[in-house]
Amino acid sequence: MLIEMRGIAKRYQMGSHVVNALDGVDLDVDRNEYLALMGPSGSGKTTFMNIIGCLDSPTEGRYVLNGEDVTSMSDDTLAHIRNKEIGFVFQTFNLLPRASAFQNVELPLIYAGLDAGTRRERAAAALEAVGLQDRAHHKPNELSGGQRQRVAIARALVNRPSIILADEPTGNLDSKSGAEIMKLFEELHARGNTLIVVTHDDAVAAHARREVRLRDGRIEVDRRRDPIPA
Amino acid sequence: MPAPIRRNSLWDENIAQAVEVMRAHRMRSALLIVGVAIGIATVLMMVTVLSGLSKKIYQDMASANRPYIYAQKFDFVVEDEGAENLWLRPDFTREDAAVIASTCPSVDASVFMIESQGTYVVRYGAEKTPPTTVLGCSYRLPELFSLSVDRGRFFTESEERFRERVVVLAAGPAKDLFPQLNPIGRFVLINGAKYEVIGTMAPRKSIFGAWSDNFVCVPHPTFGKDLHTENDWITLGATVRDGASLQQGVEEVTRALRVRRGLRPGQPNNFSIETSESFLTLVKKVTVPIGIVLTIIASIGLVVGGIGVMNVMLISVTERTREIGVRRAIGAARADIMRQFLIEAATLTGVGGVIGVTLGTALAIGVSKLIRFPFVFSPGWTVVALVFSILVGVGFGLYPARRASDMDPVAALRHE
Repeated sequence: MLIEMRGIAKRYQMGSHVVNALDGVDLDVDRNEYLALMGPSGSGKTTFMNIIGCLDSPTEGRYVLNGEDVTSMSDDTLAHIRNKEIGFVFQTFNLLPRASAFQNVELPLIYAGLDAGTRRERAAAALEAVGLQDRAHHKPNELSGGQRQRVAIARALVNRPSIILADEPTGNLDSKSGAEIMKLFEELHARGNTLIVVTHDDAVAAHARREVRLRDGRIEVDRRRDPIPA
Repeated sequence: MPAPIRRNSLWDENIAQAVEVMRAHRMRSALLIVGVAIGIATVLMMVTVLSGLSKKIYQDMASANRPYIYAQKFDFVVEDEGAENLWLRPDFTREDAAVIASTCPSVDASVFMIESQGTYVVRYGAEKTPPTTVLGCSYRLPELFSLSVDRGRFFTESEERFRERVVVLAAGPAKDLFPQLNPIGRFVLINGAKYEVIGTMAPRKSIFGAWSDNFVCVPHPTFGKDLHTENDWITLGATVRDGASLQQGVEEVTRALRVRRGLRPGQPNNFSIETSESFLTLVKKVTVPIGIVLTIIASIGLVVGGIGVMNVMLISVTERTREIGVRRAIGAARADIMRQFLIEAATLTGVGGVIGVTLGTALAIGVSKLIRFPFVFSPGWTVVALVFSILVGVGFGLYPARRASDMDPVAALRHE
């Protein structure tokens, strides 16, 4: 099992009362799953995503990721885990504006401490995987939205993470570019990657093989289903 | 849990990023760099000019080929002794010089000097000098201060003994009185008496010493006959024989003078002994505190530059909150973020430092030329200035860098 979560809760102190953003969530995710995490705003979806992505730690519960208990890891160890296990894809791409596509993709490898030769090979391979090998030296502002998101996906892939965690990956794209990104996700899934896509868009969620729906900090729906026909 | 691996490649990325940021914010970076550069240039210029000044004084002092001993009535620096006691001190006599010559084996030339308290206008025909010091001295004076006679000669022992009216002109009076003529063998008027010019001296190129190039030398017995007044400043000078130590010479001269003055053991000297070395110590005593004060003043400028660094870095950290969040998300530890911003700050001030060192050296060369000091390039100070400029970056970048590294990645990613 790739993700094992038991009784995950996250509470925030808001003035005098406590907000239960997550209230006892259990979740198991296997390798090569394609999961859509859904829910209205205020459902705890974002908090849950941050915990899955090791950006945040739960107040209660136990989270084992790829065989390691990450529940109460130190900040720096979590940074290392994120580098190794998680590939983030954001709604607003979050590329470094002053770095080229190649440099953006290379960055996780730098934090991983790989040598320049290996970095060059892997970054080039990741750019090729998203079909942007000929845009390697373009800056983000010289790329279209769809291309930027593909660079971001290459950056997420490059360190061979256990999970690709995408937050509204098509939210800032036109429908054509959005469709291309979803097609790319299908390919990544077909190649054996594990994907978790956080979205409120049913059309996006429809690509996933499993749907997890949150409401008021609890899992309301967790069902497997067939993908929409391509 | 394995410890995160060493990440040497981060340095390259950090420096590349720092250069990239500088390029992106040219104006802001340029202003900051100029500020630091001016601070560093000021410090370096001050230090360099001051080293040049010390060296100049040192050269002038040490222009004598041999170390010398100088006996005078009062100390250079008067410490807390009763002032009335000081005025009771006896003057030196020419016999003192003779006794030193005969009883001190380490002493070579022993010179008696009377420096006129007032100044005299020396005349030749219609030409005249500005008011000039007349020095009555022994024939061996040139040995003491390594004065070089460029035309004619200095006076001889017999001219001294027979109180001849002969004069050796230093470069100043020589030029004033004889702009064209050869002065040797001509007669000049000092205080109404006729003196034969037998020699002139080369310019000393010296800024130090009361006489500079504006004095004339006559034999001291002649001086005693024609010019002596009660307040003339009498000193004894002596050089040390080859192979003898300055310390030995000082001890011998001190002993000889104490014996002549009948001082009992335990009684303090009622004269002052200086040496070429103690003059240098005095110079250092003066230049070191001046240097420290100047450096403190200049450091204030650098602190102002440092506050500029802090300001620019705080702006940079705030502007790049998102970037910090992204970097944290893809695996940067707090220390990585911290280092990134420290390197950025240090790169900015380091560039300022390089420019400042160049500018400061150039200014120091200019100032040295202007005031005719030797230019002393000091690799040590240059390195110190560069290291200091980088330290200013690291020091003042610390707070902004800490602010960046302490950010919560979730909040940083959400930052608009």
